[in-house]
Amino acid sequence: MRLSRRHVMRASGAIPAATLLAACGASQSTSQSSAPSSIPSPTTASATAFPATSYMAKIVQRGKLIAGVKQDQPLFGLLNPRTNQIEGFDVDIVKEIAKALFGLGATADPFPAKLELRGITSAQRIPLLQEGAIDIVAATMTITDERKQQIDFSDVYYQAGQSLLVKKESTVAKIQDLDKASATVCSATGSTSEQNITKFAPAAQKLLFAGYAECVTALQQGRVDAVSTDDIILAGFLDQDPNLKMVGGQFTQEPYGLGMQKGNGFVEFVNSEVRKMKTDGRWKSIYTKWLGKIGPAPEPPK
Amino acid sequence: MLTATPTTLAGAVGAGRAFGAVVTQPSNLQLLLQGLWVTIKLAAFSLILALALGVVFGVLRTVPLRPLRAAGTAYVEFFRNTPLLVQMYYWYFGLPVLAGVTLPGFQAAFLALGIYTGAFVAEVVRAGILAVSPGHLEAARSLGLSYLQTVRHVVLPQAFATTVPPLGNLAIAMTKNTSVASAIAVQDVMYNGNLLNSRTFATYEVFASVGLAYLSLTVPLSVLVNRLERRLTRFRR
Repeated sequence: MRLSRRHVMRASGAIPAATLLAACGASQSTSQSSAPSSIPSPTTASATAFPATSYMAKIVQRGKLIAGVKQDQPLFGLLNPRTNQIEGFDVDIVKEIAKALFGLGATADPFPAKLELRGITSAQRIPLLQEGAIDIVAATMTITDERKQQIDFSDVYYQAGQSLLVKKESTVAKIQDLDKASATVCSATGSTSEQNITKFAPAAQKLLFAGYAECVTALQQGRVDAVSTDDIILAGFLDQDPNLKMVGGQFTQEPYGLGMQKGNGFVEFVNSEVRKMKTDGRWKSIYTKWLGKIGPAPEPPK
Repeated sequence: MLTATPTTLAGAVGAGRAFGAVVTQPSNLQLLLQGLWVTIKLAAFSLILALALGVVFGVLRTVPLRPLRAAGTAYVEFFRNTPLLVQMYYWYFGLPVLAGVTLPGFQAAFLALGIYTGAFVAEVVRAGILAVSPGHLEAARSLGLSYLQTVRHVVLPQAFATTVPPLGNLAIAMTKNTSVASAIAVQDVMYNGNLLNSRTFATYEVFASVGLAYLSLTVPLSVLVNRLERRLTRFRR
């Protein structure tokens, strides 16, 4: 059975693996195929069904998916000191990818047996992918044309926007208020946020750290007038310190994508899985779990 | 580079760029050179502080007065045995909370590096002093020199000669350690290298250049230390 399926897969390379798998599953067990609208539960057979030379087969053969995630960003990727595990929206997204790769059930937790999580910084994301040290990056990474030349991006899995975090008593109301030499804005080295500050407030001084936790400390100590990055990241810090507020709305659109090494073909598989997540309710439940306090789950990004 | 696999080479060159194309661009080169200048200033100031603190506390550790020795020991053990990065964060983020003093990044890095390295210098100075033969001390005292005169004219000149090689080591290590200051946003060559990398993704090229920048400081320092050592130990040959 295994052999024959692999044979079929190889012969029809153009057909996306997932589609074919679904077809196989349907022809095998008629009981499952009756309700196309129900959440498809990945079959255990998918673990061995990738073409032998595909990147997915390489991951399956290795035994685990290696994902780079943030470990200092509340709500998206944060190291929980009690459990010593990284948790968040991004982590749950890669968990779904790992489940699909290894054919685990909907309620199974692929971590740590089938999923290795590496805590990385913004600046490490592209180099680590290019070195092949990690298979996938889910680390609040904005899709840009520049980055697209270096790595493959999945479809948008989250639509964020850049905003400002200031002290409660601050008079700053929008990014233009910071466009003067006496204003200092904090952001992370290697982030699009940093480049957007230059674009929207070219006169402002910039202070750049490896992560946003340092930026928030700098804000609390009055070293900077504002911290600027994606609103979602700021919301996580807002949650921790009631003496801060978010102002200025979304002055950019930041489509987050999953990053993969360029040209290894992994992106097609990941995309099919991301699309499924958006339509079968998994995306919304992950949103509600992590970002529910901001508001009800919106429609998934296109 | 010769042993690099084709994949690494592709990564090094990036999107069809020739190796070296990014850092040789005038504005990028200027960014790195500005950073290098900050690194030089930070290294020079911190080294002066480290030597001053090191000599004072190193001598303190050898004096025949217990409270002074204890002060020297406390300084050395505390600052030698905690990571430099922690001390950087302490001077930068901790001082505003503990003492209400907010230091700019450069000053915080200067204090952290100087005080941290000073603890190592103190140990080198102490070892140098202890290496002076007790016979010399006895002879000096017999000749009627006071304790301070003995230290000034007999102990320190000899101790200095034996401490030059390890002090040179420390100076080189400290020059490289200045890179830790980029964590508290001091715009040194490391920080500007990170910045350039994040804008161009020419990772290999940028960090090779940053490495070269440090070499351009540490290699001359090595040569200088070797010369100084030869000159100071002439009396032994």
